[in-house]
Amino acid sequence: MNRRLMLMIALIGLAAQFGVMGHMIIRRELTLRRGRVCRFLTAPVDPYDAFRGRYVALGSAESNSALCDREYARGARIYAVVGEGTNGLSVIERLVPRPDAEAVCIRTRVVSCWPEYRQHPASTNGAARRGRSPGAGTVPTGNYHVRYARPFDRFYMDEKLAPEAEKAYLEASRRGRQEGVVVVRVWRGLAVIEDLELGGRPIRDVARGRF
Amino acid sequence: MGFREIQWLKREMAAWEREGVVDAAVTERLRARYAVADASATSWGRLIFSSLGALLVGLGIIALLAANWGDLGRDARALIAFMPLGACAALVLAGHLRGWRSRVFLEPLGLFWGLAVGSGLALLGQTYHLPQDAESFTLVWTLLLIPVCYATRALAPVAGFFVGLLTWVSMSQLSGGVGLLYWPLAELVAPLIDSVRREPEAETRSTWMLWAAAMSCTAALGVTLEKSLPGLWMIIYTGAFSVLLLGGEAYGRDARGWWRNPLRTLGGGGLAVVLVLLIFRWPWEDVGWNHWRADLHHHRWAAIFDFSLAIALPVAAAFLLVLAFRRAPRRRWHGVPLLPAWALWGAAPVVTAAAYAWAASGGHDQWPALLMALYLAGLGLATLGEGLAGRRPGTINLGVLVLLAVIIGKFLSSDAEFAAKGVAFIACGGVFLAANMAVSRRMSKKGGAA
Repeated sequence: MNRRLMLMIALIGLAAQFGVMGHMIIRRELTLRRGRVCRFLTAPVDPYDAFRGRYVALGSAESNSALCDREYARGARIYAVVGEGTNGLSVIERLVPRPDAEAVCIRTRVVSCWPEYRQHPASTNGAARRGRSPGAGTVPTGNYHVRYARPFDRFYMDEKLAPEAEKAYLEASRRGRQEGVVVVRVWRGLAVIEDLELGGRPIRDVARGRF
Repeated sequence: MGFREIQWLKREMAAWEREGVVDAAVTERLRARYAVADASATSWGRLIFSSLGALLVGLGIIALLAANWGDLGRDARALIAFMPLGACAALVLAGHLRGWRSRVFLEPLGLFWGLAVGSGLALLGQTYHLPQDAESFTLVWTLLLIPVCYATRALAPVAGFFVGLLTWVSMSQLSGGVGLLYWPLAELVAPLIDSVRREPEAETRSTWMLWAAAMSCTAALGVTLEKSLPGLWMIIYTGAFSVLLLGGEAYGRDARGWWRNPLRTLGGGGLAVVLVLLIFRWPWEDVGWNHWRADLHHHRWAAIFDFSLAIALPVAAAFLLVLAFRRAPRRRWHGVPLLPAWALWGAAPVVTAAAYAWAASGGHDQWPALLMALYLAGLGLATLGEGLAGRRPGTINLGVLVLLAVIIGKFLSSDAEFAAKGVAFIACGGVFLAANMAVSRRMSKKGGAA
């Protein structure tokens, strides 16, 4: 193959690779600088990811599903509207197919969607025991339960600090006083984690303090 | 010609000259002819060790990145993410300026470059706490390997591209997506493989590339099918394997050995496995329109892909059958024109489609299974006959194996007594041994290699 052509391909390829990585960085940096601060209650655990090092897996303190008035395909793009909860914490209020210009929205995907059923007024106790499953005695309400992918599910830490952070969180949970709060910046549908706090302090500081 | 073959030929030429088979002038001309090939031949030992070095360096960098340096700021870590890629850019430029075009340079570069892209993306994921999304990560990494494949024409990134694409499409289908994008993406690297196959000294490399592509595409076919119409996979898979087999016959007849013709080997092997499955009754149960699947997990529009393949692959197989038949040398047996065995194998999608139509129209599942058993037995006999006519023990054993598969398969699924099964197995084993002994005796009488 022509040497010059090979060099051209290599340079175009390198430009594309630098471009993709640069784009990833710029979008997240802009989000961290311009984004609206949201604070979500969370529940960390500590699995091991062989490829990306140690991280604190962020479990959800609230359910990551919501009731919608329309059906969504599995894997479809969806926006979670963020609202104000109690104690200055944020909550996911509802799911919408397109971003709401007035509200803070986080882009995510539909994991699963299933219809909601209610008991038919004339049904028997047997039908009520069947609960959500469709069948005799239940009728669809026209609403759908939509489970969405959590847009922030891991907080990377130093491989020595991550286990200490988990221990600190578990101890705090047993005492029932401290809460894990993930601080997220949201800008144009993108959510980027800024920090993870335990009892109002950054979790890195808490973990370092335990050494 | 490969490095080893050239060395072997040189030794043989020296022996021919000593024994007076050829004179010195002919030997000299042959030496000059193969000296050119020798100079451009790749030493696979050097290539493997240099690639291993690149792999270790790349893995070391990934391990360092995975250490998750918490003390470094975001800017520093973003800069570190670009460093392996920067090193690749420097190597590409240095290689261009100094004229390094040897495979010993380009193969490790391709491997290291591919790992550099993946490690950079992983470090960015770590720096910005990206959510777990293995599907997107794999797709982005795989797509960014395409320029690496073209720039280095190396085996490792091409193999990595197909492995990555197959991994992505499997994850995509599992999470409820539609993996049809696999096919146009796989097509992006096809011109490269075709171009490498045309290089005079890249036979081994291009063969490995073709193996990676053919195996990935075969596996992806099963993953990307929507399977809304039960049983359609039988026509699609027999069609796909026939296309591979006949493509291998039409375009790679001269390739020696099963390894050097991946299309023929994979097509023939895959076709044999699928046809053996079809002699049982279970694939023919509940097939056809009456059993259409329309639940939430099936995308109605994606089923069009299945139907297109079910038509296109048998048509392509028929086209290739005519093409391969035209190119094949004509053979006769006692004045009777002989049809090559592969031509009969290539007709598999037509026979399967007929059996499918029978089963789908409400026929009992035992009749399509019986039709396929008779067809496969016929293929076994044809292959055995071709092996006997051409005195090829490998082909004879293949034919006997196919016959054995039919007999054993049918006997195992039957309600026959153990004594009957035992007698049948002994008889089959006897036929197997007798065929080999007969050919060995015949070949040793005629001076062939037994």
